[in-house]
Amino acid sequence: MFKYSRKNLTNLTVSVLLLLAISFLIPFFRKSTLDTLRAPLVIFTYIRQELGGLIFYHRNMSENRRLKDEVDLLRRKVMDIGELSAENLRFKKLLSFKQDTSYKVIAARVIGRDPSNWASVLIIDKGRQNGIKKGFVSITFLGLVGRVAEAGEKTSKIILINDPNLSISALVQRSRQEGLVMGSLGGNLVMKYLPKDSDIQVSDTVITSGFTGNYPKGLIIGKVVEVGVEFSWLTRYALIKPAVNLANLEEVLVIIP
Amino acid sequence: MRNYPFFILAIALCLAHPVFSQTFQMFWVKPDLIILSVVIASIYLDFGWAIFISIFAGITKDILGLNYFGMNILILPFYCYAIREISRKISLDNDFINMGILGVVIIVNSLLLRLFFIVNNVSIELGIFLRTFVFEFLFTVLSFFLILQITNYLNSSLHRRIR
Repeated sequence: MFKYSRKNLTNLTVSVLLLLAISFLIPFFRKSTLDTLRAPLVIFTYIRQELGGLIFYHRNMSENRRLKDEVDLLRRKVMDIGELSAENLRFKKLLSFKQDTSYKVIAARVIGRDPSNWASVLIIDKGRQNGIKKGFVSITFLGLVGRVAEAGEKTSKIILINDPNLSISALVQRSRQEGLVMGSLGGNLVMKYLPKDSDIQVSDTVITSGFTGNYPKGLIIGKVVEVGVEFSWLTRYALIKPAVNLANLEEVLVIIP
Repeated sequence: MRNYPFFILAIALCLAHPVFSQTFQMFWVKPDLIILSVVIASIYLDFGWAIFISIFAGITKDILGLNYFGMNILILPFYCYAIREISRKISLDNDFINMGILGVVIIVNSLLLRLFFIVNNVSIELGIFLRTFVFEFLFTVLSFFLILQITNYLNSSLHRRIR
């Protein structure tokens, strides 16, 4: 179909070899280049936020009103909880319990996402300079978000829990049933390898078991929305709706162990 | 370079895609604006600039992704080259032919990715793959259609003003 002269063929071969060399080198200069791309990504993030604010002005206004009411309600609840917490502390002291250290966290802004549809990855504006390292766990106040897959100087990439390449050992909070939670690139996660007689039902809360990686025990992953039997009829599976809305994350927290 | 608005559009699509694409996602799938920018560049720009855009797009996609091998920097210039060779055989003046070319590029890209996943032992179930592939195809082609409508409208209104 295509005819080439000798010169064209040489040019083509050299170009392909050059591209091949760059493609092999990409992983080595990815982190530094991503740091360079940080500035345009941050600018586009601001533009997106401002445009979103203008376009969804009315929705934001009504949401703001609703949230103010909710804040009032929560403030009242916090005051009640403060009393309970002080009481709890006194009892713990009496029982000589060791106080669990609370997580130290770093807040980061989401400045981009993996461009392809085949991976769920966030890019955040904090990196090694801020103490973030590969393998650290990312959360929001609602629950687990994912794990740091790559940490550059000023930026990092977080692989989300709905990515099929991430598996987390999990527990059903009510029955302590163990299973493996995996992503499916969609809105729900899949909890696999549940025995046929496992005690799991719809609306159960699923939490991290603390058996794998750096995931602290007890982080909320989500709620069970469906329980079914695998095609092989040997095990069951459960579909889990993540506690965190992974599609609209703007800020995340990274746990420093 | 006569079609510099398309050059700016292609660069802007590459940089805006990681930030804005999430806003337009449906069924957890977003239009692939980076492939779209490569196809736009290949059809509307001179070959040199189109190759430049495709390499830039490939680097952007590989830098923002997590793959251990820069696959996009190899395949995006290849698409650009293939479109240029096709444009020698058939005329790419019709918008629907251009949309068809974009569709073919997305199909080929998805098949190559599937192969890449198999080689790299990445487990994505066939059902998830097909869902993502079909919606990506539809959304990207639809985005191209919308962009063409907007640019055609802007072009015609600009010509009217000049007259």
